[in-house]
Amino acid sequence: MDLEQITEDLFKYKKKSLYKIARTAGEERLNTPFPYAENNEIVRRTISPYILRNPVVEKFLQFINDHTALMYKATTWIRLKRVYTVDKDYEYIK
Amino acid sequence: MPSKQSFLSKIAISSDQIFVETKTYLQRVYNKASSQFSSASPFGQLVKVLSNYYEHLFYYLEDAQAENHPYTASSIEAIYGNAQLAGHNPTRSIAAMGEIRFKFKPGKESVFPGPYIILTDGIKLKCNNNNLIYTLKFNSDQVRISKNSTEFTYSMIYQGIFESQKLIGTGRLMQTFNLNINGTADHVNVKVFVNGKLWKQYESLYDMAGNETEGCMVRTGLAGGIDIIFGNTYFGKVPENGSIIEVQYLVNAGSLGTINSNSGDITFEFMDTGLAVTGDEIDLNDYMILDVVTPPRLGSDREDYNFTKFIAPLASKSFVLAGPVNYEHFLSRYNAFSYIDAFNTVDDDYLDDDNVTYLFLLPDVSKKLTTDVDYFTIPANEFTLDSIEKNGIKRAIRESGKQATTSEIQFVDPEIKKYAINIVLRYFEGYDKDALNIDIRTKLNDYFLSVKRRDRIPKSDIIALIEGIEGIDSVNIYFVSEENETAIKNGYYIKKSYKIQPTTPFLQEGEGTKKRFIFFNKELIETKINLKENEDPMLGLDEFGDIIIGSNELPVIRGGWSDRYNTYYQEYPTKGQPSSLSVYFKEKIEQTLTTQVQTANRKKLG
Repeated sequence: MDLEQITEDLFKYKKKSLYKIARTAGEERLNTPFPYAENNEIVRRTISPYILRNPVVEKFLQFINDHTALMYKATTWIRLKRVYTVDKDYEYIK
Repeated sequence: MPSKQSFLSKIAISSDQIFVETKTYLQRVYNKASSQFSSASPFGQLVKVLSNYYEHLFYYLEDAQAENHPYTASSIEAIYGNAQLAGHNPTRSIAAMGEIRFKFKPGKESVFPGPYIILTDGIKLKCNNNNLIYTLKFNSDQVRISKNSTEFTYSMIYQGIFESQKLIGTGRLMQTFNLNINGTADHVNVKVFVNGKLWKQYESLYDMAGNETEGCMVRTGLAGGIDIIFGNTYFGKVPENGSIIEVQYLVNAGSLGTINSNSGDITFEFMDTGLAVTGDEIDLNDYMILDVVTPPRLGSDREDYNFTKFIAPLASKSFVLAGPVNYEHFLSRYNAFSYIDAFNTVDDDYLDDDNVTYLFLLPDVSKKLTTDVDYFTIPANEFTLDSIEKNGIKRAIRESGKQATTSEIQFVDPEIKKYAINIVLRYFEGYDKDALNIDIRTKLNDYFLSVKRRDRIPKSDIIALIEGIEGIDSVNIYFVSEENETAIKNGYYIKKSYKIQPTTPFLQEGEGTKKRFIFFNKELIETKINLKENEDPMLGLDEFGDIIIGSNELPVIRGGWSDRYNTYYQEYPTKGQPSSLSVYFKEKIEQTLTTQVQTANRKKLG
């Protein structure tokens, strides 16, 4: 069984809402928060590249990366509580 | 009974603790030796890295939570956000602004292609004095400079760079956008366009009455940057779903943009190009001459966070400049002043100025110091506002749109009173007199730059400062007042008072085309007070010899005058001569064990 089959549908949680994309199309924002969840950024910057050579481990570590990025976002959600007028999932707070 | 998953102790929040507990758990569950989970193994490294992630996370969570409370917040953005919740809109930086003029360079007409140069709005200039970028602002999208014209074109310049961000309206009520800004956005220069149309800014939602009011609120961000808040149909129009909202703002360097030089000493060069009629880009430095009309002034840093913490609960909610408190609150946004006193005279018998708020403002001299100038040598005129700064303040008040219709302001110029300080001291052997002199001058420089009190300057403050210097045994100081010495020398002094009498109303010319009726005559009475022989009136001093600061007075340590014995005090501190700051070394004290113990004991008491 190849890797794609193993991980099929496992990354569904990363899909973005088409409605949301349509609502924000045309926005030109500056200084947006760092995209920790994209390109395995956290794992790539903190773990030896030797480990990432194994595609299965690399794929597995994407979950770890996304989980950690989500946990980092928790701090943003705490800060969002003060910004009471924006949506609860407003994603531009740094 | 704890579940199998909760193997982590709730008090284990450092990465080491998490790592050890995780490792122990894994060893227990999988029945493996510790070598299998060492950091040398890939799995061990993963566990190590994850435990470090979590340590970071605990720190960030604790920090984020602490920043939400006004008493524990420490980052400027969080303090501003908390103040915003309390109703105070913290002041962001304010760009220095000035005026320049430019025209086509004579002699270049024949080599320039076309009849005129096109300059677009927002052209950037670099100031050669401070290397900061300034932006030209025209009243139109572009101006044309004819090569045959000898007339200058005038334009305002603002320190900083204009940035813009585009947002998409959602059509919801109370749409709010938080814009992240790298640096600080100008407090005044923010414009909001909805579908290309400029929407007006309001201080409060209640000011945007009705469904048709195209307006929004621009506030210092609750989470940094700036917040743009639109209405809810009852108060203000709602941007439609899909509408393009463009926010333009000026990112600036605050007080660093102020240039305290004469217009002739300031030079700029164009950073952007102009356009010829053919569409070719033109290097403006080759074809334009540029003069400074008004140097960039009144740049101000963002609000000091200590001030924000203090002022947030006291902020006026009226948003109108009517009384002294409003003006003090408004002007305190500009970090350019060391002292602000706004007052009116409604308690006196003179009724004609009861709508006037008098502004007694002292510029922050510490911001004007350069490496070769200190408090004792900075020119005396720097202690007061010049006409450019006064006009800038008037313009800022006018452009704020908050001044109540009947309210007027008048500046009260501080009356500079000159004093000299004579310091007599005993010092320990082994200490260099010049080094002690420098230490004393440095301490007093810091003291006089930071002292804010407006009642008196006590001798004891100065004595305490000097006694703290290593090598000083004992010290005495006394102030000499120029006003007092002149009075003793002349044998009299002049006392000023005002006499107020009702009069038949008459029309008085005011500033510009303004006129107003006057109902009272206010007459200045000058009374000559003769002194008796050997009488010391102690003008400007109290019985302790401390400096007394009268209303509207500004004491400065400065010479340039003679005392009662015709001893001339040099204007600036001068070694070996009586001057504004004179240090006399009376006696050298031998360093013995007893004196050293005594000095140490004294320091402990202090």
